[in-house]
Amino acid sequence: MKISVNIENTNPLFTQLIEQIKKAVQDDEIGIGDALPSIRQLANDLDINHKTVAKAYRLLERDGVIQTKGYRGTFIHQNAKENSIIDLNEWVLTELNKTITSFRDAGITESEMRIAFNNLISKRQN
Amino acid sequence: MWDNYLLYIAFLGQTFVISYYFPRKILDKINKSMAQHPRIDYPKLYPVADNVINTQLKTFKLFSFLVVVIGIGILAISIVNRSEDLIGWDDQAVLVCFVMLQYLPILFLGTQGYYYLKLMREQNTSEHRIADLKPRKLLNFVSKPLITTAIISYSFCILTVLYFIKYPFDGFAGLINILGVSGIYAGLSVGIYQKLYGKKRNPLQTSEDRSFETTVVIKLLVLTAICSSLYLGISLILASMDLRDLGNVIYSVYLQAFIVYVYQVMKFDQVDYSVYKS
Repeated sequence: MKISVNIENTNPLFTQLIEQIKKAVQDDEIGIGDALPSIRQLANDLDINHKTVAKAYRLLERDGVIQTKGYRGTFIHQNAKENSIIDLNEWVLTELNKTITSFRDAGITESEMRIAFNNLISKRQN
Repeated sequence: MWDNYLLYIAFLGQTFVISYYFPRKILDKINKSMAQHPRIDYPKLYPVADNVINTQLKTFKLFSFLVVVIGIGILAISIVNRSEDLIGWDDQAVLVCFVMLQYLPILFLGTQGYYYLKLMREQNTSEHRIADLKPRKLLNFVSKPLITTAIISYSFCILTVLYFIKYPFDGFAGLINILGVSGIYAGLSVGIYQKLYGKKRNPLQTSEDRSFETTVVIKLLVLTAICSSLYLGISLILASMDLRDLGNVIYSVYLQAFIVYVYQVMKFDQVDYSVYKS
């Protein structure tokens, strides 16, 4: 199984990696428990930054598509096929849209929403 | 005296194999490859002008020829003067210095190859980059028995040194031998790691070609490790038996056999050249 990236594409490189790995899982090109290359290997082969591959792997792990087993490496998660269909970004957009609509209905201005949102994010980071 | 003649024959063989046979075969392969894949059909194979390539190849040829002349000169002086050691110096020192000299043209060619690939990367305008979604493991490229042999030969070398630390002979260098062989193993391990996980030097190379190249290079590095530790162990044993000269002959034959093996595993004709087309 090969993976390719287009460095001129407007779609970020990490997104291209995520989409292709998810598609490979859905198309059974890679199966449950299959090992993936290390971050260093994939980044060097594609001649891209290690952080880009690390970010793609981190998000794939969050989505339950892959799992890292310490020094043994990174493998395809046992529920990868079901999990690779779920688009968390899409879900976030839908939920936020609902919330913003209810705030607007209550008369909250956009700047108030932004301030509140930023405050919450900063609080969580601290 | 017989061991002197044996060394002379081995030295002549070493001069011929490393500085004449090998460079000539390499040049033949490069020229054949260039003739079969001309610039007009395979422009991406040539990041520099023809005259630059020809000058580099001529320099390599001249460099190797000079080393042959020096080798024959060393041999001639030793025979004419009927000296106990090569050019009246220490045999082992002469052999080691001469090997370093013999590797200089090969190193020159390697350096040129490195810059050649660097230019290829700079001239590569492709927006697409492809990689295998499969981890590379050491055992995919080299067999378990070969790795085991490398470990056993290292252990043999260490045990031999430890034995001679307890029962030293005249001129035994001691623990520095362990440091030397461990240094070689560490250096070769770094080389293997780089080959497995390092950057792709040739941007156009297919993954099949890369896999083949990785297999060849890693095998050679593991073999180098085995040969170096075995040689050190054997030469210590021979030195303790007052057979240092035989150790030098073995060293020389080792190098020749290694170079012949390197040539055997270099297969340019299996490379997929279609990637270099316009």
